[in-house]
Amino acid sequence: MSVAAGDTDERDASGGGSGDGPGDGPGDGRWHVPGRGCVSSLMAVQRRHALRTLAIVVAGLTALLGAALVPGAADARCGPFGWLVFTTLVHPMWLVVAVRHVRAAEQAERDLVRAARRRGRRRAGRGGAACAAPGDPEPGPAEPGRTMGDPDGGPGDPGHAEGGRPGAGREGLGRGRRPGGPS
Amino acid sequence: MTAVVTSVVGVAVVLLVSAIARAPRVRRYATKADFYTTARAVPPWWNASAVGSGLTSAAVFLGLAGLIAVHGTPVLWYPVGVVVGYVVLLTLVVAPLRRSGAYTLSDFARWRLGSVAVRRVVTGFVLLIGLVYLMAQIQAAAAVLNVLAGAPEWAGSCAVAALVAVVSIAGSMTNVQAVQFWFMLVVLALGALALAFAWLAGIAGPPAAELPAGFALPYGAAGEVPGGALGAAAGDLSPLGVLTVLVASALGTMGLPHVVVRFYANPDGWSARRTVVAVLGMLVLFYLFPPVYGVLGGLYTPGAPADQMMLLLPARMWPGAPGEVLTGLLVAGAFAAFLAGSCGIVVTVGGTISSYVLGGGMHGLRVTVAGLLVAALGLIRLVSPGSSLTLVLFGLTIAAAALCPLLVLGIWWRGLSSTGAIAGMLAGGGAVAALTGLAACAPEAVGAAGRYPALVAVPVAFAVMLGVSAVTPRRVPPGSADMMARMHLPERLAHTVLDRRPLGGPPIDRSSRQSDHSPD
Repeated sequence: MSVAAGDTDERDASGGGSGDGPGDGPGDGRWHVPGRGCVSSLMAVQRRHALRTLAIVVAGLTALLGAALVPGAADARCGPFGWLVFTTLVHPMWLVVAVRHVRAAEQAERDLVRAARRRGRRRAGRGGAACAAPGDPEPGPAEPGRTMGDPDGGPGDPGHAEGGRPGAGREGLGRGRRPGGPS
Repeated sequence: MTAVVTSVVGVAVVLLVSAIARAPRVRRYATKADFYTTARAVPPWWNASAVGSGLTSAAVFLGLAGLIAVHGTPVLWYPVGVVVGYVVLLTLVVAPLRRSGAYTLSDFARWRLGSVAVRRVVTGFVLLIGLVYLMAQIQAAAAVLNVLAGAPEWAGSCAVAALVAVVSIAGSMTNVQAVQFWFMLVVLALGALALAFAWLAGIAGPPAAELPAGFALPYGAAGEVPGGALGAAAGDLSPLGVLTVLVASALGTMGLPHVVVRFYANPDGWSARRTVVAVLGMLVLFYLFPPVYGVLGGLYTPGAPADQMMLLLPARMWPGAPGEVLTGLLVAGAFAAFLAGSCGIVVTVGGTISSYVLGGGMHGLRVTVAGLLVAALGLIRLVSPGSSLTLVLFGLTIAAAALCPLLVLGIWWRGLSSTGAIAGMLAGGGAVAALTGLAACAPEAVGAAGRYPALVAVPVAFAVMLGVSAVTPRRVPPGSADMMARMHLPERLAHTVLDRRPLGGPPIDRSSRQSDHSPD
């Protein structure tokens, strides 16, 4: 499940958005956000990830609550302290669910950044927005130094790919320090 | 005597290590914002230690094991709810909240809904939750002093409140809390392993009592309420009561001000997510040990008060110097847990209140911290002894009913209006207050709803917030799409999009104060 570049661009092409909220309309700021489709697309994907994770959590809790209602179910394999052992050892399951969610959420953001970077490179010569409307003229050659680079400072940049900190090496944040901050 | 000496030495070590941890950081805080957020540059695992200390506080450290000893394994549902709460926090809230740039929950509400009234209501709930949590910590710490030195509870409460006031205004709480968390975890593990060894090796001698019937069952009886009158608000140990606890913990964790505010010490949303995962790992480790104490407490300290069971256990199991030393260590661990939890709460809530009422600044923080502690000392006399964990659960219930809907809908729904937010928070918080009050005074008048308030109040809050927002679209703040972009897009891409920056323009670090929405 990822944010596709085409998806992003198609949404932008509509110009006005999907109109899915009370705040949607001229004058509320939404129309003035270039690449507003980026947000909608990413939000939709993140929402799907969140709902999937929550569904797993609810299913897990329901299974726990249900298993606890079955007489002797927890004692069957673990003896008289079966329930104690079970509820103590169930916690790593939530940790696994959380790790999977983080990976999925970061992947979605990484995909969006890649899509934005591709368009940004194509439009670099004209200084267009990352998620500009695809109805614009074909972009010229990329201008060195004007590419989007690492637009997110997050999962898309090399620091993240290497397991480092966001923006590591570019802004001096790599060791938990603010740029220019005292040591 | 050995226990007193060991605990004094242990407490001295806690204070010394905390001071050492604080020293290199204090120099960095050139501004008030840096003071509150540790310069927004804390690595995930270190910030996770500080976050973890918010929930593995003295009340939980002592209360959970004690309640397991008294009520059996049904109490183990409480940690399940807390751990699930962090998963929900991770899933729905943490990264967007960090990216919003708002420091406190009040700042987030003000920024997201553009309403001073919403901020006032949120500040009120933050104050209420903070006070409840602070009362729990002080009560647990007073119980420790009572066991150790025989000090009256009021004297112990005053002493620990004074200590919290001194430590909390010194700053660098992230480091202090993180250090104290690890100290507490090591002590907890050492004690559990030593006592388990004494039990298995036969050093401990025969148990004083058999475990009560039903100790190892998943559920207790309906109406079996741990922790006195307020316990009704936290849910009993029946299946419905357990569901209440799970709902309150799972949805209330995201509304705990002293937990949520910690994520602003992370540089960005990405590391905030990693922080939650690290917290989960630490909680998994932490929750291995209270059941050990609980089972042994049920065997060796039958009839002991829940808050004091852990501290009485070593001497009962292992008479002589080893037991005394273990008691001293556990006292030091409980002290570290208490200090970490209490200081985090007073700094967070004090910062929220002082920035709103007194315009911020160190003087305002000091005044607010002192006021909070005095208020907590006054209110603590209204709750029965031994209800520290119940107070924690009560705070979670309020947070779930009042602040969870605001956060979830504010982050994921453009259509949330300021009127809807206020109505929903008041409906949820009011429902909890009304049901709890009625359950204590006239239980037959509210029936089951009084015993399981979270199951009623949380859906009511969501329904009211959604319904009122739907009929008040004019109160939806302008620019909500921009806010959504700021919260959901990765940091630098959000700037590229929102600020219409030319591609490749100067990068803006969202962790800097340029996008800081906290008052300065």
